[in-house]
Amino acid sequence: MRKRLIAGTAAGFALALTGAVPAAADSHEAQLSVLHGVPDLTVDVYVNGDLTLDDFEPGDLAGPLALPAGTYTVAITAADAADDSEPVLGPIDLPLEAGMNYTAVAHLDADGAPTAALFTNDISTTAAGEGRLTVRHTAAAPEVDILAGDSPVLEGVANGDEGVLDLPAGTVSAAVAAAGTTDPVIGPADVTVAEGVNTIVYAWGSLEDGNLDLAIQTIDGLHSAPSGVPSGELGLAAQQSSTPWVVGAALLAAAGVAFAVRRQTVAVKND
Amino acid sequence: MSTPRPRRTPHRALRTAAATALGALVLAGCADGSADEPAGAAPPEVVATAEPTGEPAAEPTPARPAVEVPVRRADLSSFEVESVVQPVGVAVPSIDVAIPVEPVGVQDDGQMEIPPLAEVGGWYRYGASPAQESGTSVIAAHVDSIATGGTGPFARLRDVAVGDPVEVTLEDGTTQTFSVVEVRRVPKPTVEWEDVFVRQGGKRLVLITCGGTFDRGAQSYSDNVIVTAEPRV
Repeated sequence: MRKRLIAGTAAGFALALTGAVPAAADSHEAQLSVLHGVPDLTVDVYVNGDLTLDDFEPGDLAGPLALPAGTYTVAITAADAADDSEPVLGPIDLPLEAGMNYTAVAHLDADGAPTAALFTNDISTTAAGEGRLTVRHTAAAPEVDILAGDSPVLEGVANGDEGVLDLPAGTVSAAVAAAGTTDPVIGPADVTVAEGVNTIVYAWGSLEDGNLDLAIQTIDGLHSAPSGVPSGELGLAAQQSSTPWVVGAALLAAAGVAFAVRRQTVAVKND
Repeated sequence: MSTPRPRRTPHRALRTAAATALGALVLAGCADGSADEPAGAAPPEVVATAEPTGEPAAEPTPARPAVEVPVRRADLSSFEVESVVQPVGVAVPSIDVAIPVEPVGVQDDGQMEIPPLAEVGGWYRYGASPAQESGTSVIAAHVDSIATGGTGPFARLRDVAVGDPVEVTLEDGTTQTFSVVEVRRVPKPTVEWEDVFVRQGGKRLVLITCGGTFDRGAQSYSDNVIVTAEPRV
């Protein structure tokens, strides 16, 4: 978490300097994805009154869409609705700021009622060699702990909450357990956290109905370059050394190795 | 309630476009006099019959912009990680260099990891592969190393000439051939690594080692030798 704070600070600084968020293609636009996390309910999604997602099924992820910054009104209806006049969820207003990246999630609240949340995705630059893991609790379930391997990495995550951490790129064995326990209610499942990618894992469904599941979203292009290429150790190839005797010593050492090898060869020949 | 709108054919790939929504949004903004919405990025094609409520007239609406919202399953089994064909060797015949290559990452200090032996190149596995059609592949090797006890083949990298061929062998047995377009020696503090480790853009190969003077206190050379090559045509 400390690493993330540092990365966030650095990105904030860059933002202040340039007035642009690095990963955003267009400073006037926001990126929006939509995840359907309400089980057993195929829906239509209306944006500002216009049908935008037709027959959107549970576990589907739409987007990303590049949208001009502004406030969008989203209504979710049954899939056979004629229009958005009788939404099953919403209408809700989504204020989208330029340069930001969002995911709107239709999901169950802790008590199992449909609700919607707008999450802001962390698209700040990741350190070379690292990826970002975001975990979001959008399931009808009490507070949970997120386990990587066997140990909790995020504790006490409540419905609607998220946890974010940067970690070395690789595969994480992720599981979700009730807070304070280590007995998984979801997983364990291998999740790839790729370098320079924000891998967002959603826990969704209902504990009571036994349909908890994971959904995965990725946002790439957050990488940064290594800070250098340290590709020499001895100074033998130096054009001009600041300490010439070192080169002499290194050459002598190398010559000594060569001499030893030659002697060995000679010795073999003598046998 | 207005007239029920005609249903679109049920189709998993969404036919409705964000562009349509945006078009309607801009219209709505105009209609109610609101000036909140920036219109600059909205697609030009707007459904002229759309009303501020978003309910079009009963007749089939005019053709909508053909922008589809991408939708995919988000479950773990649908989540595929791309695998790339990796390079396993690099050769620069003009300077008698032919070394094996292995994938490397990043050291704890944030610098690129370099194989200990100077006779082995490290391919930056988070960047592009020479097998791919875009992006910069980076292969670096020690100019000299403790493990080797002397200099390695990349000590001759500074002698390469523009136009010299560079051959990269891939793990599938195929070869990618490049031509050197630039050879430069750059003081380490001034290297713009973000311009070297580029993951998008044109296909390039960059070979890197060390050069210049050696600072024994810092155990470091002063410069990097950076050779850029582009696909041979």
